Formats: sequence, C-alpha cells, structure tokens
Amino acid sequence: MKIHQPRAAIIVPAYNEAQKIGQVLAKLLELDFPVVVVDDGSPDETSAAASQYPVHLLRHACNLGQGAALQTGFDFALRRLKPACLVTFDADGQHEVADIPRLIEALNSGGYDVVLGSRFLPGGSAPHMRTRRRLMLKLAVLFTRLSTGLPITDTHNGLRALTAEAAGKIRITQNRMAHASEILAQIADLQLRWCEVPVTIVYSSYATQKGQSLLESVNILWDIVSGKMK
Amino acid sequence: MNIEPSQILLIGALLVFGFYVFRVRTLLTDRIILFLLSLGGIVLVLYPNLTMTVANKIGIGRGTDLLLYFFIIFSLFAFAGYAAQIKNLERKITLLARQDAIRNAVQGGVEGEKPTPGEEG
Repeated sequence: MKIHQPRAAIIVPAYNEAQKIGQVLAKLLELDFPVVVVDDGSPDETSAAASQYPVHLLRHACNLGQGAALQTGFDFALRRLKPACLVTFDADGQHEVADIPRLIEALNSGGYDVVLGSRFLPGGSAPHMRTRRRLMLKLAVLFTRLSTGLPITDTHNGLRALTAEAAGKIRITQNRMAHASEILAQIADLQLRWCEVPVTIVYSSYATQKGQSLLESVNILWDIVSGKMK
Repeated sequence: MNIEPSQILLIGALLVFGFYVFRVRTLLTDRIILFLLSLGGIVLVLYPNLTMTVANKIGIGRGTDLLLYFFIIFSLFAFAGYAAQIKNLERKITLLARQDAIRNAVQGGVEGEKPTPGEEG
C-alpha cells in the first residue's frame, strides 16, 4: 500500500452549494492537491454534484455548522491523507484558487504555523462588498483585537493555510459561525506563528445572499461568550 | 376547616403530577425532592396563610410574592441546567456525526462513488 503524503490537502466545507460547487472543485483540482469536501447535511444535491469529481467526499448525517464541517475535514485529512499542510477554502465561489499557492508559499518560506487570507491588506481586494458587510467585518476585527490581542485585519476569511502540526493542535468546538473567532483565539492561546496574506474575495449577488445578517452576528457573539464560560 | 373546590382541584393536580413524575424519574434523589415539593405544595394549598407568615418574617409583603420569587429563582436554575444538557447533547451529536462521516467517506470521480480505502495502521 502506497502511503501518499501530499504537500497540501484542501478542505472544503459545503452546505447547499449544489449550484456552485462543481465550478469550484473543477478549478481546485487544477492545483493537483487532494480535495476533501465535507457536505454538512445539505438538503440539496451538493453531494451528488461533488461526487462527479475525483475528490474525497464526507457527509454529515445532519447539519452541524461550518465549524464542525471544518473539524471533520481536518480529522479526516490528517488521519488518512497525512498532508504537510491544510488549506481551508469556501465552496461558494468567493475565494480565488490562484491565492492558494501564495498561502502555501508563505507558510513554507516564512516558517509560519498559520497563514490567514485578508481582503483588507494592500494587494487584497473585495470588489462589490456592501458597506454594511464592511462595517460588520471591521467591528469583528476590533472585537478580536480586544479579546485576543491579535492585530488581524480580516477575522472572518475562510481562506487559510495551516501546517499539519498546527491543524492537529487546533480543536474547533464551535460548530457554527463562531468557529472563525475560536480559531483565532486558539492561535493566540497556542502562540502559533501566524501571518496574513492579501487575497481576493469575489462578491456576487449569489454570495451576498448567504452572508451573515446582524442577527447572526449577535448569535456569534453569544456563542463566543458562552463558550468562554465553560 | 372549610375546604374550597379550588383547593381540591389544586391538590388533585399536585397528586396527579406527583405520581406521573414519580414513574418517570427513577433516581432516588429526584423522587425524594419531588415528594417533598408535592408535600410542600399540598400543605401550602391547605394553609395558604403560611406563605404570608414566612414572607413577612423575611421582609416580603405578600405570600404570593414569596412563591413567585421562589418560582423565578427555581426556574432560572432549571433553565441553566437544561441549557447545559442541550450543549452536552450537541457535543455528542457532533462527535457521532463526525465519526460516521469519516468512516463512510467516499471518493468521487467519473466512475461514480467508491469507498475510500480503510485506514493504514
């Protein structure tokens, strides 16, 4: 039995992305890294669409949340594929595949444990981003700076690269959208070496529908606070 | 003592509730607490002025206010307990769904789904 140890494995959590996931996977496969799709209990044909491509496909029996899907992807990839690093990538077409090699390059050449994508750094971009979204993201940045001390410019960007070791140390317990803040908090607690790299976020009318509402932001805040009270 | 119809109804309700929960909760401590609460409830229904005496002693105006405060605090603890239980359940469901997802991973492709080869060592 050949033990395959790829340079990177791409983790793609997906929920109700039957429309978009085919395009996303087709582009990702051009990089020639193994791709792990975690279907988070989608009621639509997400799994059927993904199974058309030579990717690893996992399915949650019920919808748990993007955080849970990521952790499932991590566990599978680290255990079965043993890659040198993991890349998290959204299934809705907001991320650019072309940004992935730069994240991996930064991870390797800079000796970092985690490389985070940022749309707000010079060189990054987020065309057509709504003002309300920008405001909420900026508030999230402020909150993260206050609670973790980390001067991160884009705290809710699903595009990240982590070394296998760093991914193994991180344990995502927040199933839903508070997982992004939880990852950052763990980076701070574990004192992982991190950096940010400019990336492009593509907003389409499709993606904007799926963005977080103000109500969801309140829920995220509550999840974080109650998580800390355990 | 002159027994009012309302008292009969309340005591009846407490007894029914008591028996029902007695069958559901088998833990001895639960049953003891339940028995004491039901007994306390029946006593207060028969002698409602007790609440007034106790309330006045600790600086509350009415007996009903005392019962209300007691109920509020009891409820807050109960809700906190349920919230903790729910969180625990969610954690367990996540672990189960994750294990199931990893065990049943497949590989997609032109030939259709194939199971992922099992773990090596």
